[in-house]
Amino acid sequence: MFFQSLGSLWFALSLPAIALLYMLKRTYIDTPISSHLLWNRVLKEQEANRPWQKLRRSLLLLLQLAAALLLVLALMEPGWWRSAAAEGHVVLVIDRSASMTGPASGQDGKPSGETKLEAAKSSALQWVDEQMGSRTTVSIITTGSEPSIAALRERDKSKLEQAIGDLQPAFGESDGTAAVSLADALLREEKEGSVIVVTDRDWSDAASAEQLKLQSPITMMAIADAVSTEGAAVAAFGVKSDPAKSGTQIAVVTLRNDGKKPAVLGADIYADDSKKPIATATANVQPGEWESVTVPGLPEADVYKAQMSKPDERYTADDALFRFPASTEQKQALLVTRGNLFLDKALQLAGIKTVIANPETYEPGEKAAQTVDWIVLDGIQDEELKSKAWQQLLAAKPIWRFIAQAPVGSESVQPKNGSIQIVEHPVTRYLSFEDIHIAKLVQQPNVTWGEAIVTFGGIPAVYAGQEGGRPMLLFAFDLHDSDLPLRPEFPVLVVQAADWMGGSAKSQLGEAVSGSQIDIDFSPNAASASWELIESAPGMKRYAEASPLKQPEANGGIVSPNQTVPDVPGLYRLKEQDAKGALVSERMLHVTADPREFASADSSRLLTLKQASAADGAGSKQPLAGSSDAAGMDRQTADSLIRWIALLLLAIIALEWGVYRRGRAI
Amino acid sequence: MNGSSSGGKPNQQSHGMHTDPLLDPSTIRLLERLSVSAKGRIRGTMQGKRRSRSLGSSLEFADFRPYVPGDDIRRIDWNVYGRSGRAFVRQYWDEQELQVHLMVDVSRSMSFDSQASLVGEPDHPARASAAAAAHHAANKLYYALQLAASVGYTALAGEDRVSAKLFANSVTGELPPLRGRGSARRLFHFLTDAWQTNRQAQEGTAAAGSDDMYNAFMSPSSLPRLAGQTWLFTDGLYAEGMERVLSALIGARQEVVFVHLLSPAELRPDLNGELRLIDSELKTGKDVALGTSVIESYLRALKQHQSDIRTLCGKCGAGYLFVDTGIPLEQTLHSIFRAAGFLRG
Repeated sequence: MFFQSLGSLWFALSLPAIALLYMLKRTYIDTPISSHLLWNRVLKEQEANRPWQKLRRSLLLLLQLAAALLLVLALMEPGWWRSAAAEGHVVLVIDRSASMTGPASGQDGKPSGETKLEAAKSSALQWVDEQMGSRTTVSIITTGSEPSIAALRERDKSKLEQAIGDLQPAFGESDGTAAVSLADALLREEKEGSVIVVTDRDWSDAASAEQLKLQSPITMMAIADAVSTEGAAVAAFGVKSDPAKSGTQIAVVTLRNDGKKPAVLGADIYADDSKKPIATATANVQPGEWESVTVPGLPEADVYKAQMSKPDERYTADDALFRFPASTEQKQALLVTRGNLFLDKALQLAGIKTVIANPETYEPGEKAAQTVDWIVLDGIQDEELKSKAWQQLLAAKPIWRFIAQAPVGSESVQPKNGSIQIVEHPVTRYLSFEDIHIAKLVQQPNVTWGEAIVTFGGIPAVYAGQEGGRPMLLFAFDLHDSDLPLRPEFPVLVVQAADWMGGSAKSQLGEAVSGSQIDIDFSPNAASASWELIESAPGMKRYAEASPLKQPEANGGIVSPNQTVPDVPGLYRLKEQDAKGALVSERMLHVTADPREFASADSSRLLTLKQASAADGAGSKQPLAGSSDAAGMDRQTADSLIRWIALLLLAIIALEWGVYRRGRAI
Repeated sequence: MNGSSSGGKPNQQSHGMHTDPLLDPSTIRLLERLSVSAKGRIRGTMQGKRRSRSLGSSLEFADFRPYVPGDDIRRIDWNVYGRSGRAFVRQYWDEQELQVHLMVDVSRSMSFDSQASLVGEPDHPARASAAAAAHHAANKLYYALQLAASVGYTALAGEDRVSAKLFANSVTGELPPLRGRGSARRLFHFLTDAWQTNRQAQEGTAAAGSDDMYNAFMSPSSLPRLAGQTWLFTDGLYAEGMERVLSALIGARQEVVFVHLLSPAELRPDLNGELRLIDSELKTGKDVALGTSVIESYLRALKQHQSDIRTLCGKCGAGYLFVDTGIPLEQTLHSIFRAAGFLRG
């Protein structure tokens, strides 16, 4: 046995109250009269001749009938429909992740022609229009890499409608968990409130969102995904120069079939801004599988694009990938060393042309400044390179240092143990540094330009960072004091370090996820920079046109090296201008949407959110009665009338008491 | 006159009565000027002041009749004999006394005193003052006895015969016929006694009275033997039997005067709230929640009851007088008894 509403136990207080009433009941006052004769007539007149007429005048009977009727009514558990969430503070969490750009399902399950985001917007607008009470305050939180508050405690419907109308999809990483927990936090201090999540339930972080312990009642306004059988994407695209045939490029296109049945997928490859494809890659791909196609013999170009020949029915943002060919020209590094064969060989293996310079004899000239891309200082103290030519060279180029002995003001330390901590960084990618030994490390007290990416025995061993847009790398030990060069990981480390050092020389900016932050090394004389959209990803043109392009941040004539990538996927050009407005350089950036958003939706991945059960926290709010997170959203919720009936019943008992005191007759 | 009036009063005092005399001197003086009127000619037994239906020795000429031997020769009209030569005897109406029967209802409902009998509530604020004040002011029995005394005195003063009976369930007291003004003392004594007895009986618990008025008149002895006038003093609070009583009295050659007494408490009940109304005779209770509508329908029932009795009396040829005991006695005698012609002055 269980009780659904223990709070109603308060009504039990009526029992002693009734008993008290009867204790206080006044008896009839004995009043002698001469004769009943006339009174009998009076009362007989009031009595009726027929059975039902007797009922007519008995107020007590009527009241008891009413009480019984109310009991029956209460057992029928009546409710009163009212608009859902008509009170309190309602937080609308609107999912605008890249998956929301997919087609939405209409009423009949067929694609309605609008995107899920548009459907979500119209659902939210409809909610604001129909169900927002006059005393409701509404906040709107949108998902994104960080949740953003589009409206806070707003009562004005027009402002809310505008805020909803202005929503644009966020193609980058989408942190829905943060948005939901922010919404919950907004309601933490509210007495009444609820969260409504407008989403397609296809969240990349669904698992962590489900772990949330939410205090507020939460409702899902699900936007149905149009069921489409055909979905395809260019999963990967790579271009490199053909070693067999110089002057031509070879491309590898990986096609993915997100559909339910095998399909012949085709991808057209475009070079630069050609209107016609220069080649086509086709493959027969099984559902859920990947297939790679190699396309040789492509002409040289600055940028290549692989685009699905047939537009995708599901998501179009992943239908095209841009690639910049690997730079053909070989990098040149100035290796300032007293002799380090391991490093020299490893650099050459990494495709770096090394110029070995002995600091005692070599003096850099004008030619070195032009040909050398970056400098390796292998155990060379700064004091040894004091000449003006060296200083100029060192100030202009990226530097990779190996510290052999402690300079003045710092000391060499022997690490106590061999524990390794690695921070994720392009240099340390794929490396574990397992079992390496470093005999001696030099502590670097004042490295301001970067962070320690490898720590050995609690002492920072490798620093990486940028100084004035130049990549910098610092190894706080001499390679001779370590067995690192003997390890198989060493060539990999050198290749990645060389990539990192040579990054500044990249002709293009590469690829970045929408909305993320990237480090851009601007030219020293660049005073301003601007983004320019070359080509948006298929189907993304309307989003690109809808919102103005966010331009790089510049502060006092210096362009910040840390920049936010444009939102809408596509190919962008970054133009740098000097103080006079002359073009300094042009580089291209390929902005992609978060690929996780387009992974084929698995039903087990669909998001479910629920309020933490009342036992978890005493302060949790009760959900609105009858709220449902079924498909769509219940327009109304029910207010139980049982309490009111109970109150009415008590009122009738009170009235009955009054009648009983006054007498049975009316 | 003076003697008779003073005769009633000291007697009562000398008998050790605690109550006031039934009639005060001014009332008695008023009554002496009145006489009881009877509708038709009376057939009595003794010489009286009333015209009788039989021929007799009054001064009122009735007829001539041929003389037959044996007639009183003093009655021969000699003038007629002188003219006609034949002897005729003058006949006169006899003057006989009127038999006045006073029948007073002494059932509980008559003696019910709405204020003095608030026994159910000792703290009743009305009680203390009511006991001290003239508690019989509106008492129906006392009033009926006063009226009976008035009628009886008037009759005695008019040289009529007066007898009195008290009845409740049955006849409880009887005063044999009296004659002459000097008998007024006995009449008053009898009636005062009746009041005293009744008051004592009331303090007991024995219930007297019933729903059927005829109960008291079932035995032939309860009806007057001689033709005459019967005054019936009652509150009429009987469910049945009234018609039979009237016809029994009329059958006993009585001219009936029905004096219907109701107290102000019955005429204008000042009751409110939830009350348990206890019948003074039956001692049964009735829970009533009194509101204006109930009082209104009570008044309607009262009016209906009253008009029922009046109609009944009209059918039987009986006189009907309605008396509100809240009105002073003299005023009642004036306005009702004289105006209706039952007392003549």
